[in-house]
Amino acid sequence: MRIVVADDDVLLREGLVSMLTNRGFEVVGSAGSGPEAISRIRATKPDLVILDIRMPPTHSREGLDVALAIRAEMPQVGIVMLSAYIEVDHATELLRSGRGVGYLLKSTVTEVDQFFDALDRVGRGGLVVDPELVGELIAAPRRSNPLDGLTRRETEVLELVAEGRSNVGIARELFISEGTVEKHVQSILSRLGLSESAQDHRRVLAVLRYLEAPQNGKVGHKTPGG
Amino acid sequence: METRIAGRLAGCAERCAELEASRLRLIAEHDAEVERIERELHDGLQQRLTTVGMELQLLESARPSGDNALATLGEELAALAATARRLSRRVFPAILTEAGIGAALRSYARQAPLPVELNLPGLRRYPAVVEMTAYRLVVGVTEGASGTYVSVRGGDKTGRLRLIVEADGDAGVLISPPIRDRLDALNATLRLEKAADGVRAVVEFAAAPAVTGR
Repeated sequence: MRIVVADDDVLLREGLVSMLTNRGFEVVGSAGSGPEAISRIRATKPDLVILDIRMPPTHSREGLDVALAIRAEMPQVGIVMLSAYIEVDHATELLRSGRGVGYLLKSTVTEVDQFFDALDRVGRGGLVVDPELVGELIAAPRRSNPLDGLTRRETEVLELVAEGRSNVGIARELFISEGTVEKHVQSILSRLGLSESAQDHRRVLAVLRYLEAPQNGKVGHKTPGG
Repeated sequence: METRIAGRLAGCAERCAELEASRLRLIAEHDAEVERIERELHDGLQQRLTTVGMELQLLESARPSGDNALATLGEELAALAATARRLSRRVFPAILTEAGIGAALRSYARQAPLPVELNLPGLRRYPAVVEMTAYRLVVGVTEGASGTYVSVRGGDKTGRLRLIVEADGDAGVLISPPIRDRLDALNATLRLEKAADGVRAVVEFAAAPAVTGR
């Protein structure tokens, strides 16, 4: 897989490059800012780009803007976004752009197996949402918690759905059949008032949005304070 | 005599305006300092920990398998990185500067000690001191709450931030003295009202407070 790496922190970028090279990936370019990243990507046409979200010139969301621009121009390029903090809005903005995207906490890169697995999934057109963000969303305290009604197995399935796994992926992860996964997914989604979608990224989007604000879901909760 | 009193009053008014401006400057300076510390923690410490973690991974992959010492070191490093992240989040939520009060509150609500329900449509970006004050207010109310939930409603009211914070339980909504000071310095209004199952605070921030330098 041919990769472009963009991060303004030189040490971190070099570290990433050697880690990737060591693993047998071909790093065809690296960049330290948004504009530089765009031109490297245009020039090298990689299979995958790894983008830091906070880069010069404005140190806010250059990475995200680069991702959306690249998505529009070269939709076949996989995008892995690295961020120092995790935010559902960023994840959903990225996921809305379609397949082959990942949103990970920067520190995840040191969990090499998890990180390479994420690159692999995104490279094959899959979706990856940082497990820590998903864990936080699932564990968030709620006044009337619709997730309390789920069995442990269902919660596991929901977690994997939110992380972007396909039914096949979930089946493999939990050592159960794809049919069983499908049944679980259907029952969870209908319990939460979400409609089943054929497209994985729409499913992830719906679940993430729901987890962030269950009162906006279709379960008919009271509006806060109302 | 009358002119002397008038002169004294004018002097007092001037001094009063100076003190108000200086109070606002002190708050803004404090926030900026805390933000600088967060940036150091992020760029200096967290990024370095990640880099060291990657170097460790490279070392590990170059050694024969079955060497557990490096793996253990890696785990400790990961724990250290998690602590640094928590600390930096606590010192100053970077997300507040980068994405605004709504995103920062959503992020806080995910790991708050009790349910924090948010309903804040149409938020915009507000001056840094306003966003920080609003954030601290919600965190303070949540951490001092004795009940089962906190709810935060409101949103944008013609360019000004309006928050209605409600909590059940005996203590109701506690607005600490430092937060009251901040609200006062920002010319924000604070009203405490009886709510169905507790006390609610209605806070309305003034239009953009100018932090004037001297």
